[in-house]
Amino acid sequence: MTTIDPSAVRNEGKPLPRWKTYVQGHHWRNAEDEFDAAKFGMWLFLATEILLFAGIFVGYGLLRLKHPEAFINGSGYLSAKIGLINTIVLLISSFTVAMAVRCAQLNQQLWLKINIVITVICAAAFFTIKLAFEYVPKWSEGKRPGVLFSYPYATDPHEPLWWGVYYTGTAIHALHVIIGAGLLIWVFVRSFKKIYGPTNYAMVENAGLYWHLVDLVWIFLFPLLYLIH
Amino acid sequence: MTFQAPNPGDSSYDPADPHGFHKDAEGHDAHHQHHVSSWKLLVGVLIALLFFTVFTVNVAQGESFLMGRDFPITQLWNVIIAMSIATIKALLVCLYFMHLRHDNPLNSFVLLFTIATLGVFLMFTATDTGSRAMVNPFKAEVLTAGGTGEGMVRKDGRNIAGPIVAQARREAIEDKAAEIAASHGREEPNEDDLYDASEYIWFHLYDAKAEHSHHKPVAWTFDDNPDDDNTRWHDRWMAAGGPERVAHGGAHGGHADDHHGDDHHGDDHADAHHEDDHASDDHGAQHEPMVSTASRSVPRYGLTPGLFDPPHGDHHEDHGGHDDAHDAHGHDEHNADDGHAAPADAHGDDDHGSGGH
Repeated sequence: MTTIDPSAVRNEGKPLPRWKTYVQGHHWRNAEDEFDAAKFGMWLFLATEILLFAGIFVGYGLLRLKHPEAFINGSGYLSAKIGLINTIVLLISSFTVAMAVRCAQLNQQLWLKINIVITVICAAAFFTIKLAFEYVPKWSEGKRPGVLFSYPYATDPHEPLWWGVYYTGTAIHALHVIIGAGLLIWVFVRSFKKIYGPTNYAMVENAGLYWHLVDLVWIFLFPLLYLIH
Repeated sequence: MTFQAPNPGDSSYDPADPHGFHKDAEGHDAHHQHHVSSWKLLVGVLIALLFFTVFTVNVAQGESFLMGRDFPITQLWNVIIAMSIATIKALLVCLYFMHLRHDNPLNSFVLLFTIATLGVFLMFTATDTGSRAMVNPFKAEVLTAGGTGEGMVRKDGRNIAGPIVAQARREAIEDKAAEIAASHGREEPNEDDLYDASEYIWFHLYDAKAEHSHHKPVAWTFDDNPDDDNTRWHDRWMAAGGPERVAHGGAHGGHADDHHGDDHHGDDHADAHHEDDHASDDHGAQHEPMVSTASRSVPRYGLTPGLFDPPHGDHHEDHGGHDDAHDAHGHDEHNADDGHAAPADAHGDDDHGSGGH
């Protein structure tokens, strides 16, 4: 990536914001192509992410077909209210990321930062709720996967399988929440250098796409784990 | 004026774009404007998403309500409705939050291709697992038998004999018995402690089951008034005979082999907690300990005779895979072992210092 040294270009005595002086990499015909390619690459990566979660969904479906009673009991152990709160938190964060992209496109630097901060706060809230109201109490009650299982009140012999699916699905999703929040924090830090603006917002867009994927996966995990019984 | 592709030698000729695909009508680099979503649209999508989320939760609860009242709504519909709403939500996110509506169609193609791939995964795996019994019936049985944790070894070295669910209950009863014994100042729990502990754990099981079941009240064998939701399971349990029922094996849905003709109520009771007295399949009493179902060989035809024989010849007699048949053999001798020996071991190790002595 070649950039013009901001200090060399003066704008009424002040350096131009970095997004104004951004020039695409020398091997790109124009910034448009660079942006499209970056976005297409992100979509290819998201495809692999979807395939990662596909394994979990397929496992869920087949195990559910084999052991319906265990999965009915299993979703009974989860509180739909906690799931609903977490879904709302994630949807709001998805909205604020979409707004952050819009702010970058319109050069609203302050609102870009505010939207990203709200998103990261939502991510932290999601993870905290998950940990405090789900993982910790359930794990300490002995509702654990496989050989770790020690909950005395289970009524179906395959309930450890349900907990395996539950912990695998939600923990990999929670890992994505953490990674997505990390990406957004990075965008937030860089946004103080006025790097993102109408001509350069691919990073905001792609971090946002990643975050939307986290949201998408949860949109399906929520009914599968909490609602279907 | 239509744009003419430049020829080599023209001043506007660009070797990186010889056909002029990326030029506008004036021959300049085409920087078409990126679509900027209006904030009203984004807010509208958010509101729609929140609406559908609350809606799907309410629908699920309504279905629970109807299923609890024997309304003919099946689990299949449960799944279809919840997944349809989730798909609508996902579409909204993809089209508007992820900008696919105004984006390069190639990105949408990647997404659709991935979803089709997911369908292929699901279809072929389901075809495989669903049709194994069509080739050799025992294969279906082996597939179903897994996943109970049977035959595995815990981190602390304890073996898991039978399903881990039953083992967890047994261990909880042992721990509770040790606690009761300690509160009486005894080092080792006696049979009465074990009895009380078992009673305690089973009471809580009924409470937990009642609390966690979404819809239908669990139909216990002693439950003669299933419409009465206000009665605590507890009280019904006591009204139906309570501990005596456990002690005398009455709550087991009529397993004739629960009785050993043994007067010792502690024994009977320890046996009793192997049994789930309702719809669940408890494999607890049917297998020898320390033999993993997962690694068990199955008979193959056309190979060296005897090479892949199961350790006990009678194992594959009942290909139907149902448990009543399993319960019939191998029940009595294992029960007696588990009830007696295990508690004594556990307390010797774990619970010495915990009490008031």
